[in-house]
Amino acid sequence: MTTDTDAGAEPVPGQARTPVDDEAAPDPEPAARGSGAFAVLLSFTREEAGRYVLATVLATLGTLCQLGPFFVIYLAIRDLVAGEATLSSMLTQAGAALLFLLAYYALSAVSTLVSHRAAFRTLARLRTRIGQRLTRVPMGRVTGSRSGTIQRTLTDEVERLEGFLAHAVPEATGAVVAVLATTVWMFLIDWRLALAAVACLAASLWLSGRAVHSSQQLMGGYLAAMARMNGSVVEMVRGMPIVRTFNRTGDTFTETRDAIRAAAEYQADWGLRLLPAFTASFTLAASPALTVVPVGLLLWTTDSIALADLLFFFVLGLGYGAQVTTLVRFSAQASELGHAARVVRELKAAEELPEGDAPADPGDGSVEFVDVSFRYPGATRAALHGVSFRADPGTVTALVGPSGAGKSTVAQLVCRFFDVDSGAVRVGGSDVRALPFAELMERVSFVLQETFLFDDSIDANLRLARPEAGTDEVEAACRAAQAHDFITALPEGYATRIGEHGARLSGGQRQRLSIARALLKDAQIIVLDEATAFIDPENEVATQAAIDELVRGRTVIMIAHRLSTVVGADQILVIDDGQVTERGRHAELLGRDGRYAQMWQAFESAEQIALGRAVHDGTVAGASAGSGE
Amino acid sequence: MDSSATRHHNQPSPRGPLRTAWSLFGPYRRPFAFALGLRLLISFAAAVPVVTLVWVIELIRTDGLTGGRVLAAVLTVIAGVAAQYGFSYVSYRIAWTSTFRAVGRMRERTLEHVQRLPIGTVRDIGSGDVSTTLTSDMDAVSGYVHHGLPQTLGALALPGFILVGLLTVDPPLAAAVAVSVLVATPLYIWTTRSFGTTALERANLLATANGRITEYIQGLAVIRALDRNAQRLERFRAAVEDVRRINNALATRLVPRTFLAMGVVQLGTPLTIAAAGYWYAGGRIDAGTVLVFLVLVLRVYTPLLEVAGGAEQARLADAALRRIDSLHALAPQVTPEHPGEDPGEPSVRCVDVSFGYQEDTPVLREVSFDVPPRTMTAVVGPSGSGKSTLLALLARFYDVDAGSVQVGGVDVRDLTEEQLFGMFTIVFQDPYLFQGTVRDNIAFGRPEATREMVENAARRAQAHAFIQELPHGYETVVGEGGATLSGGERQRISIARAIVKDAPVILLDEATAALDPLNERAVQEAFAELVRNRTVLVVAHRLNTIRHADQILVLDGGRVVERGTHAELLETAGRYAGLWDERQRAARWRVGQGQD
Repeated sequence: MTTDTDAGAEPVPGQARTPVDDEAAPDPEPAARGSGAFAVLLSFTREEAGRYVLATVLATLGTLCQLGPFFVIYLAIRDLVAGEATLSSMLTQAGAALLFLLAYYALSAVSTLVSHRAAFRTLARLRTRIGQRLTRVPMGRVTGSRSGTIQRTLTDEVERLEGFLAHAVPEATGAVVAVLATTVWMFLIDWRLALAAVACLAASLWLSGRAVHSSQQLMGGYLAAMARMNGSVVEMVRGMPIVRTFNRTGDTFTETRDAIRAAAEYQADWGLRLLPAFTASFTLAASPALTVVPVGLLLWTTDSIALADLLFFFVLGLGYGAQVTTLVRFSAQASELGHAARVVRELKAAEELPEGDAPADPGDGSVEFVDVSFRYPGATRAALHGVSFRADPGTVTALVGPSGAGKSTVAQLVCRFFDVDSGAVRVGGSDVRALPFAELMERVSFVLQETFLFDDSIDANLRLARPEAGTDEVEAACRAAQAHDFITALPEGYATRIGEHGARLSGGQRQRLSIARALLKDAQIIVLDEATAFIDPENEVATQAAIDELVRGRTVIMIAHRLSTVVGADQILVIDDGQVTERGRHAELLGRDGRYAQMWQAFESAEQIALGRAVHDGTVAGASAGSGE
Repeated sequence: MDSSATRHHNQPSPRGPLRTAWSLFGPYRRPFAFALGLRLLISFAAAVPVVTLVWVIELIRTDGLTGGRVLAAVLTVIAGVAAQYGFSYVSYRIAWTSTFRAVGRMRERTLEHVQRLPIGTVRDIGSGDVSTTLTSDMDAVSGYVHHGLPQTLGALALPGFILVGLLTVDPPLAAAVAVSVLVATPLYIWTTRSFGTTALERANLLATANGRITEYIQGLAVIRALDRNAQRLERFRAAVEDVRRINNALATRLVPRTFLAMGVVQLGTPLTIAAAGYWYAGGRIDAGTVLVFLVLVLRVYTPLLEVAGGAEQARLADAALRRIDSLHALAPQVTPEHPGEDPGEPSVRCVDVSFGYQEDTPVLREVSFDVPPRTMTAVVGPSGSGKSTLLALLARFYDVDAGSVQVGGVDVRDLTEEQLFGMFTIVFQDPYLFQGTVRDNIAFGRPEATREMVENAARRAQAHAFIQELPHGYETVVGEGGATLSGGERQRISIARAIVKDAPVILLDEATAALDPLNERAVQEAFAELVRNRTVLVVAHRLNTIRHADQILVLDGGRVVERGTHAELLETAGRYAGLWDERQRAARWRVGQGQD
């Protein structure tokens, strides 16, 4: 039993999680965190139950052995006071203390090792589970900014659980057993003194409860002050180029400085409100002597207690309570981990998309939306409502419209990033929900504006599309994608590593590699999500030629901002506010004089705006100088 | 920015992290030191009940426990506990309040320092890292200083007091108590060191494994689209397994060592019992002395075990302090203290400018050009040619390595920040809006701007119409956590902000991504309004927009390789003519139908 005299489990203001980004927003219900988090954390241990049980048993035995030296010292003092202490009795006692200590350290070390191994296994299991599940959840959950959150959950948040899993489970159990054992033991020896010792501890716990309670009452204001300060600091740093170049350094700094001072004052104020109860609590926890000595001496002077029993309390009873601080510490830790535990559990239980069976027929290259409505999870407004269209095999369908209108949503639904709320998306005549994922992915290739390449060789990145492809096939795809020349110019050609540890490629080059990958995959349907949005004079022509190769003979669904690129499309869909508002070929739509015609006119005049002329006479659209338009 | 490389980041300051922190504590140093001193008195008071107990047991043994002595013992225990409470309260009160305020001061001073760094340096370190240092790192320091440090001090002080007391009672037996501590101390230091090195090894191995986990998540869209789930999941699993093995190996290595150091300390208990028995049986010491040692020996070792607990917090705080210190180690930008000569006509001039982010890799080499007042110069060139760097140097985001940048005939280094940015407005590719109303954002550069000025600027920036359609019009809150605006809308608000600021020189970094046609036209028109009658330098990607520029500079490899008007450059049939030709072909492209 540890008998730390004056250091208790102190709550630590200023240690609350600081939400630098909005995803780590403070928990709205701090009061409800503790026990819930504890249950979630425990649920993670289930599959390694055997190891955790072993670690717990060893830790409990160890904790009991830890009481041994106290008991031995009690015996030695008893002998001494009775005048019965001899060299051999004391050497025996020294030997017993030694054995208890050795047993304690051996048991604890083995328990700690076992529990750490179990914890690491649990973490690995959680990660693998989640990784596996991510291949089956709606794709929309794992793309874009969400991928950062998931990544953090898988690496950092999971790792945060380690300390609790490895230590709290066995050690908290050991502490509970030790406290119970000592209490029972004390009551067996003398209930009056036992009561005195327990009273001191109970008062300490009650005060600690009050301190925690008053701290929680201030928690809302505290978190708000911290959030205001952090928000202000982050904004000041992120916006620093604007703040400084707009000569607003002084005012903005004053604002941030006020937020910093307010947070510091709030912290100080919180500390002051907390301190009386909190200080009393840990002082009492460390001072059972306050009750044990007076009561013990009263009993002694009235001759109502045996000397041995009194000494027992003077030695053992004074260490009573130290284990309770272990429990308080772990329960604080559990509530701190509430956030991590919950996001991990949530991800582990993320809903999976059901997969269809193999289709009866291989299907053609058509894509069809039948009265599709869809709302993003958690969104209040529908992203698409009642969208219907059909893209025939081998045709080009262009999606145009203002940003946020739903163009990308249409593209994502073709690949079943999400399931529609009503209606149906058909690829090659089959509902995407009725197809196995493998089959759907066989039919559709997706080329995004941003290209992801693995930290691996170029060859390996390309072969992801078709591992069995021959060298000649890979090269042919790269030639068609206008990538062969720049690849062979790299130090190790196709074997050159790319990504973090490898060659740096320009955006246009990466784009062409992803087109080569799509060519190798050879799907009938190509979805291009703003694949040509970047204006990059050096690479544009080559990238366009690569796309021409890719779309040849295939069904194309493309999102286009630069309307000139889709003038020849078989069908142009104008998406506005989640609906198809116009459809037809370029010439028809121009003739209709609606939204498309308006966009076309905007497109043409934007191309004509020449800033150089505006500098001198404010003319917005100048006559073109040598442009072909 | 063409390159995010930096040449001076992550270096400690000459005086080191601890002294930096101490000096940042400013006026709170004294109260804090006083609180730490009081912390020693807490331990002293905590020893009182224990010593009283020894006295009582000794009185019982010698039958000297009279009624008066019982009363004295009880009162002493109560007084000891009361003193412990009183000292604790005062010590913690001062330690907490002074720490919270001192860390607040440290935040302020650090932020102030960051503000004086070259803007480019802050961008290179990354606003995320700087923010983390100002928020979480400061919290880590605060946590250790107000909690961990006093606790560690207390854990050392009580055993210290008791050992000194025991020395006065019987030096040889006190030596027996101390010997285990002396043996364990080097063991503990060795364990801590091996913790350090092993943790470093682990961090490196973990970074690799975590990198593979991260790659799996980031590439998931591709993995799933290419149906390579099984293959990649296998790699992911291998990475997860690696993490487990690394952690296991670490635990196997460190757990025994940790328990060894703690165990050796505690071996003092049997040793003391045995030594006491030996000397007691031999008659060298009496029973009272043995009693003192038996009761007190347990109070020496257990607090020491707490020191190990504080070590982890100390490591985190140390890492945080190092990051804070390395920010302070960065040299602030040198600006004149008092405004000197005001810049004249709004011209911009670069004379033989050379610059590199790293010592021996120049990004710009001997670049010279003039931008006369109210003319436009466009900079074009392949990615990595130094275009954005040039823009950053004009606004003095960095200082040139050689040559000089002048605005209105004055070197930018001879201007105060106020004078310099009174001349310039910079429009970035990715506009940053502050959390606040649309009105506040537009009026940012001139808080006293009237409603008319704000709305007029918004009209000219093609923003008035969409702002009015927002839920609360100009009072709608935007920025982080605010209303969602499209990229084009944000850009137009940032242009309105620039129009209100009304500086004579405009630096413009044209966005590379196309917007939808309506937004694109609105943004272009807004730009045209902004640049009217201004001196303009634009980094251009849309060659159409700059064909009337007074001067076009073609950068390649950090040098100006061509310069002239659009017509002149087409004539020479060089780099620019090639780019123009490509752009015209690209503009004629129809998907699936080639470029002609």
